[in-house]
Amino acid sequence: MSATSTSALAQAKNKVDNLSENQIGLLLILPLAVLLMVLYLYPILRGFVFSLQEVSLFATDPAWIGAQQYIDTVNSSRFWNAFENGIIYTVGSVAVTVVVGVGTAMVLNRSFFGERFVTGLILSPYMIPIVGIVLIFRWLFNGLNGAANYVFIQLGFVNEPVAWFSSSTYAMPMLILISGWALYPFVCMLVLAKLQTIPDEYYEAANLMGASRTRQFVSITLPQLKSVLFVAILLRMLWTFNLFDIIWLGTQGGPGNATETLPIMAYRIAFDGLRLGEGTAVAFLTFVVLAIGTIIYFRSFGERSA
Amino acid sequence: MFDLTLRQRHYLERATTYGLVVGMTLLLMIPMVWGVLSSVRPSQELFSWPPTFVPSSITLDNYQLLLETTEFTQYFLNSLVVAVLAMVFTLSIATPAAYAVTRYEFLGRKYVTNLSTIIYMFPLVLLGIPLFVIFSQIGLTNSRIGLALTHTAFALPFALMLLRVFFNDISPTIVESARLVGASRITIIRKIILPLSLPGIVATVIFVMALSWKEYFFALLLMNENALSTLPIGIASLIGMSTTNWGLILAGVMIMSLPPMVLIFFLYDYLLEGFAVSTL
Repeated sequence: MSATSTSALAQAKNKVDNLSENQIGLLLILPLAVLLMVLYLYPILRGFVFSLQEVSLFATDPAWIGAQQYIDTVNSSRFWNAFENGIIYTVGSVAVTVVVGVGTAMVLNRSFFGERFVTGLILSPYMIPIVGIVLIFRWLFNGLNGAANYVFIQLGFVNEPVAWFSSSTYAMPMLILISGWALYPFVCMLVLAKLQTIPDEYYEAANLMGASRTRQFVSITLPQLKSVLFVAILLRMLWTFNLFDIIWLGTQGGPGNATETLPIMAYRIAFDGLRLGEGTAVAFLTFVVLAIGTIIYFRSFGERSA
Repeated sequence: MFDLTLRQRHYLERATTYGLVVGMTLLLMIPMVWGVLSSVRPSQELFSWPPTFVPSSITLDNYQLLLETTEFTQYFLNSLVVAVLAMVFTLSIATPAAYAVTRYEFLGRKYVTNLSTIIYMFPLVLLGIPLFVIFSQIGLTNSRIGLALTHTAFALPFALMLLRVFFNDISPTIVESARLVGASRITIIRKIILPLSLPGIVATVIFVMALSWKEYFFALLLMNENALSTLPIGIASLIGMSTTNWGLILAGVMIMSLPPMVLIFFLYDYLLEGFAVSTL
């Protein structure tokens, strides 16, 4: 029995060794390709079909209505409001994330006692589930007696407790603040990883020539960081524009539609309004917006980030 | 600048560094510290005005209440099961793919390496709506396997990135010399590649589990039964109860968040290495 299994194994080994590089590469990639087709390609195609139909969550006979839902959506003021909110939210969050991320990375790149511990601490929000982060902020900025309200009143920023999450003025800045805190560790890691690869000799040489710290930052650090920052900003913009959980858990797009972005609008229409077809159409338009944004970004910065 | 001796400049430099480190850490840790403090103070203190910043006494009442009056242990278990399933699926698909990308030249290789940029362009809702319909039709809603599959889908690019780094680190000369003495491809993988990249695989296991552990959107979409909810959904549902007991909720948040937070202290080197090589 063992003899046959050994020979079978040897045969299998032989077969594997006789494959060309191209064949074995494709063979190893196969499970990935299958999964991507089942969990990305097929759903997206199904979704495209939905978007051309009037289909509700529990109805059995969808009616074909062509591009009508796309046309209606693009002509609605709700879509453009969500689009605008998405831009504000994305630009705001990415700005905060990049500033805090680069800042913390610059500090962590210095050498000091307890470096490993502090680095872990600063990066730790990366591991906290978004639900936890949003709940902690909702408690901290609680409208009745949150600690933030107390501190802000003492400092004279506001006169009375503010209901941060249900005010149309403060809800969006609030979401940007939460996103900034939740997402800066990603940028920090990306930048820190790059900073650690800049050779010390560059700075030593600059020191010998009497270059100031600011000068060193502008002439050595920034050019080295450029490519990594382009990538970080692109990915962060894609993610943030698509982000669902922070907004949903923070405000559900409210008050009214004040913080409704495109993904939230699509979800609300599909699952609260039970209009799957229309929801998918909004989701596709979100994708189109992102694709256009990405192409513009690559066209303008592509070569430099490569 | 002022005329400072070299020694004075050194001390000034040190002082700035520590000032920056302490200031940054204090500022960024405010939310977390406040969360922890609120979860261990007596409940009646939570709603006092002005708020008391230092708890009058430390108590684990909220934690006890959480375990006794809610289905927290069930949520915890569900999260764990889904995370393990997602990890097994992800690793069994990403490991061969990452190996192929680092070792072999084949058709479509560059698409695999650019996978993350392509995948993250798709809004989750765009996948979520049709996936919900497809999964309901084949009975994968309210199923841990179904949820784990969706987690696999978005953990894959990340796992590929990390694994590529570790496979890349293995010097091609070792593989070449093994082949010269007649080792087969399978032997090379079993005896050289896997043992050498084991630390990387362990790190990937942990990060993939952490991704699944914190995932919210698909869990919200696919799991309607309370008994099958994962931690993020279960804890968020506590807020809908008639009176919101913040102490209890924050206790849940801490149990959910602290284990993964501790892990990053030991593992961030792997992430840094991954980010240095790849663009994800």
